[in-house]
Amino acid sequence: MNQIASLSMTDEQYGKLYPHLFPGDGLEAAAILICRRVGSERERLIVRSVDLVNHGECERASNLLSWPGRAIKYATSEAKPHADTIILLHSHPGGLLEFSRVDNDSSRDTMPALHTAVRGADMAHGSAVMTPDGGMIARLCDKKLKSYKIPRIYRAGTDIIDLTRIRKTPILPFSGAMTDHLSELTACVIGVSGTGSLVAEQLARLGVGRLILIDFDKVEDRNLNRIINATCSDAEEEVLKTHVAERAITSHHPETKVKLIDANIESPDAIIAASSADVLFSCMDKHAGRSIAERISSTCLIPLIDVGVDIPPREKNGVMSVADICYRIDYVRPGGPSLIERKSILPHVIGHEERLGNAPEQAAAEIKAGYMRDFSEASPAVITLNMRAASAAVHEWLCRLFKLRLRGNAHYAQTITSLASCKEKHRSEADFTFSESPRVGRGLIDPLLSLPRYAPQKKEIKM
Amino acid sequence: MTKKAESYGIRLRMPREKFDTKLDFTDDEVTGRQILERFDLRPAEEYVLLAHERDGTLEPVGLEKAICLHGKGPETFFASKADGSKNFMINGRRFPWGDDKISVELVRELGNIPGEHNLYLERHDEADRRLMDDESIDLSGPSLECMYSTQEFKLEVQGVMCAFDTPKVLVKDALVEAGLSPERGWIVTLYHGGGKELEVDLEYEIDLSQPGIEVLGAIPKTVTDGGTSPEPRREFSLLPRDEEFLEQRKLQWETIVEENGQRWLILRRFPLPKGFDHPNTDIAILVPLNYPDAPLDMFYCLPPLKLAGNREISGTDGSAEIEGQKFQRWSRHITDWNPETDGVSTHMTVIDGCLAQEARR
Repeated sequence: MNQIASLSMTDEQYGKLYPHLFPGDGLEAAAILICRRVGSERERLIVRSVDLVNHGECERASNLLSWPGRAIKYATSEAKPHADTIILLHSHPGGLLEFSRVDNDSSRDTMPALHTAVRGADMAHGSAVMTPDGGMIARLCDKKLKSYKIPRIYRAGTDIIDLTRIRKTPILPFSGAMTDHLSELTACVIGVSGTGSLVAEQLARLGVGRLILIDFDKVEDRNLNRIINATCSDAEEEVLKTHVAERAITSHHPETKVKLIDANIESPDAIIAASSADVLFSCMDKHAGRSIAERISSTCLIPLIDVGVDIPPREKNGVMSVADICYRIDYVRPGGPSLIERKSILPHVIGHEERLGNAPEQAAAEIKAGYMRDFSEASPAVITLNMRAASAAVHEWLCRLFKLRLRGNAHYAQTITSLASCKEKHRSEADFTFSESPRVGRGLIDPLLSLPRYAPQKKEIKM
Repeated sequence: MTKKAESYGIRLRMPREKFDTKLDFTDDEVTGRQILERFDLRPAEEYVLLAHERDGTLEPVGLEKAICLHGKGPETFFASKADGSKNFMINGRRFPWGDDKISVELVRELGNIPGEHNLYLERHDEADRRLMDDESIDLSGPSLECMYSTQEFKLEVQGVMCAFDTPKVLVKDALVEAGLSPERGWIVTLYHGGGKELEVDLEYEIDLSQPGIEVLGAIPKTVTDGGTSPEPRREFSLLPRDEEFLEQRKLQWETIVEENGQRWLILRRFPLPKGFDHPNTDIAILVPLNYPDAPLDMFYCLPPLKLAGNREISGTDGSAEIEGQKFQRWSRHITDWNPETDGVSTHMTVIDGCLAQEARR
């Protein structure tokens, strides 16, 4: 039976839970989490929605709570359509970060009822406890009522916090303890080319435990100026970029688990594989692929770091020069402003990329008629720029895992660095207009990523 | 304190041997051995005796164990010739059993499962199996056999027996479940028990929680404008909010995929405002693969349109080939496309606006 490796929730979900669970009267309070499983082994549990159980409907004391049947029944009707996992969460205002004997008795009554009402393959339901310091523990049980603790509970927000470790000594960054911590994590790199190969190299050398590398392309001569570890014979033999990275990683970190997906991120297999990760690095230049990465981030509750480089040209009096050398890092948390809302991805560019790919003559005509800019130029291929951008991308992740910034992370939702003006421009989430998306926590249910292109083929009309 | 009766009736059932007899006992207390021997089951050591308690549980009865017969004592016992006790579970309750087989009929009786509820046997490496009434379950395997029941609501649709797990079912969903396409046009009749019939439409909600089985009959509607109209092609999906919008506006629409991979939404015989040289036209909209992250853009008309008086329309000098025919391109765009809120309905406001604006010239 596949066990759950982690549970993830967003800042908004946590923000909805905390004040309800600790209203200030010192009494226990309750909420129900409806959760979905994602990942290629269905090993990550994510919170799809939060039901706050009305204080008035429970009997609340300072050390125990009674669960109203109606709230549980409502939760089972919500969970049934997609066989979701139900987690009954209550607070311990006294601060006990353990399941008490009363909690165990309560579970013995409620768990069988949940398993009878909501069934599915490998079904699990569970319970959880939260304490005033934000600490949390959770356990799940299968239909035979055999239970186990969920090893990690993540608040995947502006900071990435493991709620099960709130009371432990903070990990000293750049120490052996940090390496140990990273060895428990999974990172997915989408696009293993100019910036992606450098991101993968850094993650491996830092000691990240598992790497998922996604790229469909092969090494060519013209890539040798920027793909790290790529050799002339790789270009001659047309070796895939992912394989070059794996070979390098196993030569210096043989214990690192490496999974290769030799496909476009748009393929369903790649999407499902990526959903196993604790963090996504989007290192692609096409807007279409990046919008898919962004959808994986929001539907599967995975923080995303999107990195882009640009060397815009300038023409004056017939002489070409470089207007700027810049790179952009977007940290996208599930529930926060999307890449489209930040205008880091432009919908009309996604459309144009497709037309260039599918109907090149029509696209050429449109470019000629002035309807479309020519997007056929590849991204700048400069290793000095790619290295700075790749380093900034991985550093951004470390900043979210550990306290590295004096002002905290809220100001750095997007960072654009201009090497011509030697300046960094930062934007916080407040600088973008964004709204709550129904996609958050939707998981991998049909249609995948809420995109009609992945909808199952329509039924044949019978007569 | 109940009065002691003169005699107590005890029923002994041996399902395997099809033995089911009642005998009277005069003592208030009997042992397991005495019960077996009274029913001529000797030697008693070779039998397993189970008491069927009033609360529905089965309790093994030791040979020397004294059972009190008056008051709330058991009246029915099961016996089997076996050398060990097996167990099985029904809906989370454990039952001991003496035989290595038990009939589904008896499982239903012991588990108090009504006839309309389905009974399932849990499997581990394959889907759970629905148990039929004439079956027996083999308990001789190494693992504990677990069974559970669910309530299903049945409806016969056009000769096909369909099952649903909620009592309220929409007519259109019932048709789909029976393999009939609601768009095809049906005259649907709901037959209640007792001869009542009711003509119902697709949105009618059938309530299956009433006892008895309902029957739904469907007769295809014939289209009276010169033969049946062909089925609209639906070769790819749009967003749910798009399909709702198109149905609400009662537009005839198709989604087709061309050989070159381009996907088109085509609105057939779209009614035009006055001022054009045709009363209606087919409007095609290119739907990108990554829609709605990629926007809908432009629209294409066939037959190509001119204003009344043979006047050309600006921005219509391009074309696109769809199904081998040349559609006239109108270059009109939505600015600031928002994938969360924009779609066919918002693109239609652009189209409606353009057509109205041109028609006014």
